[in-house]
Amino acid sequence: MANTQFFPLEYFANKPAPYSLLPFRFDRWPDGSYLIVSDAGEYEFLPSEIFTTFVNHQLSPSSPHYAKFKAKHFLTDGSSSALLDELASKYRTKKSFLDGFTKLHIFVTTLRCNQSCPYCQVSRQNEDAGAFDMSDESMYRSVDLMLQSPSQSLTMEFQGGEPLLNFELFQKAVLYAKERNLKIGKNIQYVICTNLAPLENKHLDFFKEHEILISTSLDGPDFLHNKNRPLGKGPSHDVVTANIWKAKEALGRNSISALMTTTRESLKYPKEIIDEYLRMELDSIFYRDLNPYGFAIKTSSVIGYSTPEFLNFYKKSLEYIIQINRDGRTFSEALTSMILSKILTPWPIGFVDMQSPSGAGIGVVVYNYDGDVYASDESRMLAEMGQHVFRMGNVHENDYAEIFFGETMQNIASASCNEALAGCSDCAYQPYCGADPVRHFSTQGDIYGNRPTSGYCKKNMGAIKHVFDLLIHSDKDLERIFWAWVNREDVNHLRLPDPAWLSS
Amino acid sequence: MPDKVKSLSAFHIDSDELGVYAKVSVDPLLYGLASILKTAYWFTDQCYVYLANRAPFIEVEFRLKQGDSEDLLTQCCGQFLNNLLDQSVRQVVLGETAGIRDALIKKAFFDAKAAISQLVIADESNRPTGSQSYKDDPLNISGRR
Repeated sequence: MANTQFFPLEYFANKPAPYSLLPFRFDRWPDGSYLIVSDAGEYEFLPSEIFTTFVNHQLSPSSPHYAKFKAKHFLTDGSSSALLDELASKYRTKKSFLDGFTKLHIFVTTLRCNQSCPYCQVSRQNEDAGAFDMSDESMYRSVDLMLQSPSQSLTMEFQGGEPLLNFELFQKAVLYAKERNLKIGKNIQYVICTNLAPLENKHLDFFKEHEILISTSLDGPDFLHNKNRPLGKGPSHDVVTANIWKAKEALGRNSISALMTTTRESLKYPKEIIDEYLRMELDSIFYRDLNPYGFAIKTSSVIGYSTPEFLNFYKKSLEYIIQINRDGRTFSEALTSMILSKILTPWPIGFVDMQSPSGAGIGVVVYNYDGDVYASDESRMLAEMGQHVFRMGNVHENDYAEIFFGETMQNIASASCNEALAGCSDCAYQPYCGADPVRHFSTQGDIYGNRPTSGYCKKNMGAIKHVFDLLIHSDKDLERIFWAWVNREDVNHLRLPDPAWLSS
Repeated sequence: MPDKVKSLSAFHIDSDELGVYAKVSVDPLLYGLASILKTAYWFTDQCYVYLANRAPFIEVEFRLKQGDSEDLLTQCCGQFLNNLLDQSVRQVVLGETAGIRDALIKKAFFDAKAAISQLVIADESNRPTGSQSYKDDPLNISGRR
């Protein structure tokens, strides 16, 4: 027998194992490190040398990164189909907002409004312009369509104009939906978006009886709110805040939430706005930038701002909010909470503006006062400006299949997946972001959009990067605060697992 | 005296009747055409970008949309070349993982099948009567696959 020569043991030790890369996207950060993100949204930050070693298939199985990458599905060293099953399950979970199709059904019961906000996106009409009210027949047909949605859980949301100015129709719609639903058995949540100025006791009685949630607008302290949201020619702040207290007392603290729309004037008062929300005992704030629709376009030279200015305001405000939480008061920012949920949990969020496929038509539908059906609130805002591109049909002329699977919906769907959009498909932040064909059509004249010049892209990417920056530099206290926001818990009660226990 | 060493990227800055422009030449065999196009795309916010095939290289020309700062153009070219490296790695990863990504998405949504139309379900006249059996299948549901 010939002498057989073997390699020494050292030869095999720490030798890179043959592994395959699994799909991921990456971004290089200013400090030279790399952020890698899987299709399911799991992430890791790596020093550049580890990144290079990893993508060149040179990572040793004994490296502490190896096991982590394998657990998070950045690499595989086996051929087991169980691994693909697990990854597919994670992916499917992230996309589970698609289950049941359209869940949010918005009813524009009137375009009439008692306020004259310069940033109004919906081209409101005068209080006595009855021609802009939804008819009973349009409402009945709209409710019938809503109830044909495959989703077991629906949200029926009333918008305007000011829906309380057409309270009779609102009541009829809720009662009709409830009656029809007795046989169908869906879970329906009712929400009214109101400025609260016309609120009366009879409204509150109805809200209480039918468990209707209120979404209102509060732009900050009196001098700011009154400037942004005049009531006729007078102030509205006192009326709105008094009615927020009244509604809280009648319906409970959690039955009312508020949105804040950012104008150029708002940028000067990040702390004052938050202090007003705290004074009103609201538990969260949602910073919304101006939408490029309706009166907001006409007034943009006066009230508008650039995306970097908005992001700077958002970051300053967030810093103050975090300090408030560090001091023991639970108060969250909605956009940040949603981004954190996308980054830290396996679950999707129900926010139609930041999902792929886009929420237009798939997650939300709007029944306009005239019976026309639109793919989103922004779509009907465009229609008020004479652009009917996103009109899916009419409740009197078309059936469910024609509306939800017609040509308009097909066109929207073609630009709805950021996985297949130029600039997005390679973007590390794609699993956390969305597509917005309606906004891109409005701002760029193209449903697919041009990412390098897109305000939507700049804003979302800026916000997501900022949240990542906070996460990687977070201390235990901030980590606890973020998890409390994600889980909607009290920051003083949430306890995180001890890292020593985790690593043992 | 030795010849002056030429820049490998053939960086060049000049002006013509349209204004100041900068050019870099890159090797498509090394970086890949997709990487070059994808990298150039992101510069369309601040520049007008023109690509020309000057075999064996691809020439990328930048003109600022606003102003004619040579410093800014130089920065653009430098940033373009660095971003091109990252984009090339993205293309490598994409090439290695595209198949498994397709398989993953197919697997994730394999169970999603076209549901029977809600109209059919909602229409009570379509419900079977006591004298009918599912085998009758008057709506040819079994044929819809």
